Amino acid sequence: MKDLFGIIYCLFDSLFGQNLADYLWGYDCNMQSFSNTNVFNRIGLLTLLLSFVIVFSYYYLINHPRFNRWWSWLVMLGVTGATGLFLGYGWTVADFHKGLMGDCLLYLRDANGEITSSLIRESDCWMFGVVNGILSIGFFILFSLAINIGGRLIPRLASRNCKYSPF
Amino acid sequence: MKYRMMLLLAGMMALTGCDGRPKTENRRAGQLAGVVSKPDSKPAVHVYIENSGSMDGYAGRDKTDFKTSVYTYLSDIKIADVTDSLNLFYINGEIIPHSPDVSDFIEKLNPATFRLRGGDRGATNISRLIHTLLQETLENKTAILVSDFIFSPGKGKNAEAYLINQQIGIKMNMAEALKTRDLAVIVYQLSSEFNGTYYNREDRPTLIDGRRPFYIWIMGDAKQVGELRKKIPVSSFKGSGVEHTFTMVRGNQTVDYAIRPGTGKFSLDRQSPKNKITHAGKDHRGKLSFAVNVNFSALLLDDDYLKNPDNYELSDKDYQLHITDAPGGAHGYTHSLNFSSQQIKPSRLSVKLKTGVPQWVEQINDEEGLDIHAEGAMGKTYGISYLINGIYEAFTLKQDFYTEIKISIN
Repeated sequence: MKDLFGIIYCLFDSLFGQNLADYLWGYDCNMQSFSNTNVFNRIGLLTLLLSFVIVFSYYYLINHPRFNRWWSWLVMLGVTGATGLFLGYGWTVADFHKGLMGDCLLYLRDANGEITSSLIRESDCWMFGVVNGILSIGFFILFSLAINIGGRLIPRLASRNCKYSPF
Repeated sequence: MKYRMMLLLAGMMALTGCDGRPKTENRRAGQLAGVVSKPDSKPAVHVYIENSGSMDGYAGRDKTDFKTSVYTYLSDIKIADVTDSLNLFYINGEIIPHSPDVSDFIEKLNPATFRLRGGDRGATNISRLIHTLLQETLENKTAILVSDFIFSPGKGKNAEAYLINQQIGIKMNMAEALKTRDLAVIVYQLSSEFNGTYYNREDRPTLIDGRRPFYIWIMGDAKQVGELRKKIPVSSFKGSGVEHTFTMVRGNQTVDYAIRPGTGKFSLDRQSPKNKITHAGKDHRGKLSFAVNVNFSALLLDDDYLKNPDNYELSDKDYQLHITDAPGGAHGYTHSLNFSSQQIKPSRLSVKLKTGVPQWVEQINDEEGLDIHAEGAMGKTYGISYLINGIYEAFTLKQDFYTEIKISIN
């Protein structure tokens, strides 16, 4: 269960690269083991929470007849996706620039210690942002479905104005 | 009367030594006058130069590569902080001490001094020489022996039987020592101008003027020998420089290794990231590839040996192996083993670094030892392969590999 987020993210690891995945799993170049914090869990939980907050805001706080059309829901979905994207990118690129990623994950070096190629680039952080955006959209859809179905099963819990949006 | 008794007792002690046995001129090295030894964790280094008659030719001229090599090596030992106690000896049938002054030792490296130092200069029993050195290196000592390592069966002897017996003797002595000690042996082959008398296997003398091989043999505790090798690498030898090296350490040693991230399309196993990969896939070349960083420094083997894929035995023949230097500054790793395979299959890949006698030993071995003017004989050593094989067999009685690396692939 503690690896659930990592497993989900790594369905897309071909997009952001194995080395960034190893960093996010918590690989420590000095210890040569996965002894650092599992960053997947942190980003995943925050993304899950953000998606929930946006869904909850749409159905219960905004909850306005003007916004109960499918496209309104789609706009919120887009907002969630963009938030997830910038969260994923921002988190990883900050770690990248802060030097938190181990040298062994960042570079291939020759015998003289000269860098022969970079293994993690800023573009990988963008791609991780995209994956996080996709994941946040997934969470948004799941929460929307849960609220829609829950509202039909228990009417007093249903959103007053958006209970049929978008399904 | 009391004073006379005391003088008499002091005189007896001076003659007999503390153990009551009579002193002889050439005693065991550790008990010799002129030997500087301090109670320190650093090993004492005992350097033995063989001064049998066959060595005269290397020291015949004022300046030879032999003298240059030995002088610079001994000077490097002196300044490299590997020992506080560098002791110098001549050796043949007996051990003959010299003062620890390196420059004086080198200045006196000439046939006249060789003769003057005496001992049994007639013939060299190499098996007995090795036995003596093993005894000498018992207590925190590293032995360095400079010799031509030419076997001397003598006239009318069955040379082949003699060489085989010598090999067995060397093997037995070494094997016995290895039961209780973690020994390492390094044999450096060098060459030098030789102007003097060469003795063939029947001890028949021939005057020659040419280049002849000679050897610097290092033996002692593996860690201490490793330290010596690290501080004074092969590249620092002067004169002809080291032309070939033979190294033996005990087999089946544990070395530190770890799969190198980013060297292929795979994931590191989160429980065993150093030796297990998961989700292995083919890269853009259509191959599974990965690299393993290894620290081979404890094995004391030279780079050429470690970089030769023929010296490795892979349990899965689908894998190709290419060895490079490890990336700089990575946990003291010395080499990277780069694997690639067209096939992806779950397996447990075993990689053994095999022991072996290097090819140069056979190339430099003179099997006949009769005619030094025969084609190529000048650059060869009579019976050297029996010496090397004797050591090799002793070290490989139990294991025929230096170390084993195991990688799981899923």
